[in-house]
Amino acid sequence: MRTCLRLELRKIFRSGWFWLVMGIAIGISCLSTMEMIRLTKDSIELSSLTMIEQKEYMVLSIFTKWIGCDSFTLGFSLYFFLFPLFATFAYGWSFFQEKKSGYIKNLITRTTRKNYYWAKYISVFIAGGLSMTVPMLINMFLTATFSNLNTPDVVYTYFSMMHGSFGSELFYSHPFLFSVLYLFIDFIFCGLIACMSMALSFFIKNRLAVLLIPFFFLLILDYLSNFLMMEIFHTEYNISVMRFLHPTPFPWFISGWIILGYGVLFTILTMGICIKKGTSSDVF
Amino acid sequence: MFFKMLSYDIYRGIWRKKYLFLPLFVLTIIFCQSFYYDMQSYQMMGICMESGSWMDYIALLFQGMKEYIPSPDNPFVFPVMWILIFLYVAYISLGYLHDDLTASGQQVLIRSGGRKLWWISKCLWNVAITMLSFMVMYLSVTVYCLIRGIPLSFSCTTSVLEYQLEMPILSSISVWQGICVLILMPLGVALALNLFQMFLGLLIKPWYSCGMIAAILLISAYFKSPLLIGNYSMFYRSAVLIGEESGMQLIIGALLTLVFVAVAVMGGLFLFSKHDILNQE
Repeated sequence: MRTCLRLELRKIFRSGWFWLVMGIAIGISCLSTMEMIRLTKDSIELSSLTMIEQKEYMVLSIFTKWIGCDSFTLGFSLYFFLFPLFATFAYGWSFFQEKKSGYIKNLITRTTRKNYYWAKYISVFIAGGLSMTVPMLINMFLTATFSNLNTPDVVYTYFSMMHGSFGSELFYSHPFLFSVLYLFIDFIFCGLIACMSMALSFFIKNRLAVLLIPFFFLLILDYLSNFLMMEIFHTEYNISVMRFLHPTPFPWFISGWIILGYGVLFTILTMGICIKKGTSSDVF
Repeated sequence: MFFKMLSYDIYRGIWRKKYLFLPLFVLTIIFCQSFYYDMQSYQMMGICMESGSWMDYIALLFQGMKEYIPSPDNPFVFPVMWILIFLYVAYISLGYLHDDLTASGQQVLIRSGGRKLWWISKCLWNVAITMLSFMVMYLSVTVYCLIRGIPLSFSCTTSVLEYQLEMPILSSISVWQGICVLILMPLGVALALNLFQMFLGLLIKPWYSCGMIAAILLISAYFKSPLLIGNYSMFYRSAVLIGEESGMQLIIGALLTLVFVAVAVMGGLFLFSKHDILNQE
């Protein structure tokens, strides 16, 4: 199992496609930083024009500026729209490719099926998770170079965290812990989205469908989130994965139970299909 | 030979992929149902008593979003329904060229006598599948209207659109304007994007070209610019709805669509004549 996993991880980090996707994702996340630099410069210039002695520095807090708290720049919009594609394009295609080319037969005859499928599942999961969280982390570090570490204060309107939304207390008391918690949630979900591609490879013989169906599924879920929760259930909780993976909530509240529910459901489905079906199906 | 090739493309690229139109049909029905819910609630509250027409449903389907003004107080919420429609139509026409080149298409290409005809046949197939996708959407709206007893009219109901779009409509929309803005323009934009996607598929992998189309659609929603083609397919941003000065002009939209189509077809002809078809996966 360990040898298999090591081999898979080596394949990820030696894959040009993985680094290409990572590069595009980092580029888009840096777009948000560039826009934020411009806005910060403007707000400092504006602040220097005022006569009052006590300057307003809360607006320069990193927790208003990094991509996890940004909700209006083009970089943020592109990043939180395209992330399911980053997750699947990074390494989600590998199982399909190995199955199609017959490479899987060479591996399965040299180890157990269980080892192979576990190693593949874990590596796809890690690649998917990294494709989302590494660009966000880089964005956070870059944002830290021109912003301060002021703890968010509920009195100020610069912070888009709603009362009652998931982690709001943590956001206003330990914002770094909140950010790390959210990066962890994003890692898990993007890993699971990548594993959806692997699970789909068991049923679909079209690579494009394998890569794009998770994206369409999340888009449809996003539409239904609006339709079902607002029109039918009359609640203001967000059931869209595309929305609740952004740390600060908009346009609706985020519920921790909904995040947990999706996490459990996606894990059971993807792991169930990949491991159970994988170990019982014939590759020859 | 050309017509033989075209019929082969239509058979393999449309008839054998007919199951792909079913999700589009179902999605359109779901969209119509959400509009119907809204109209029902307006009727129950006594705000607007009219039930709308076929054209109103088409207008709501291609509503897109209002101009976005970036500000921390105004988070960007992308128009998911509009993006889903255009992206799914793009997806339907995505894989065939690549699949064909990696399968029996190579044999057809050798026997076709020239790469130009092969590419033109693929372009015509792309036009056909896009038009068919839109016809499926219109059929879906028609079926929904027939079931709900909604009049199958080409004229827009001003009061219904005012409440649904949450903005005043200053002058009534004529049937001809409605046809141009709500039927011809979205179809033209989808055609241009799909052909452009096929052209990009020669340069990069098809799934990356789909990602690029998704990015173009999102950027079009983010910026209201006459250079971004997606803007012309949004009813919210059309000159017919918001006025000639600030709205998207039909003529410019048609010209931009033609530019996209020309670049895709001519660029594809040039690129495909030098394309290595043997090194495909």
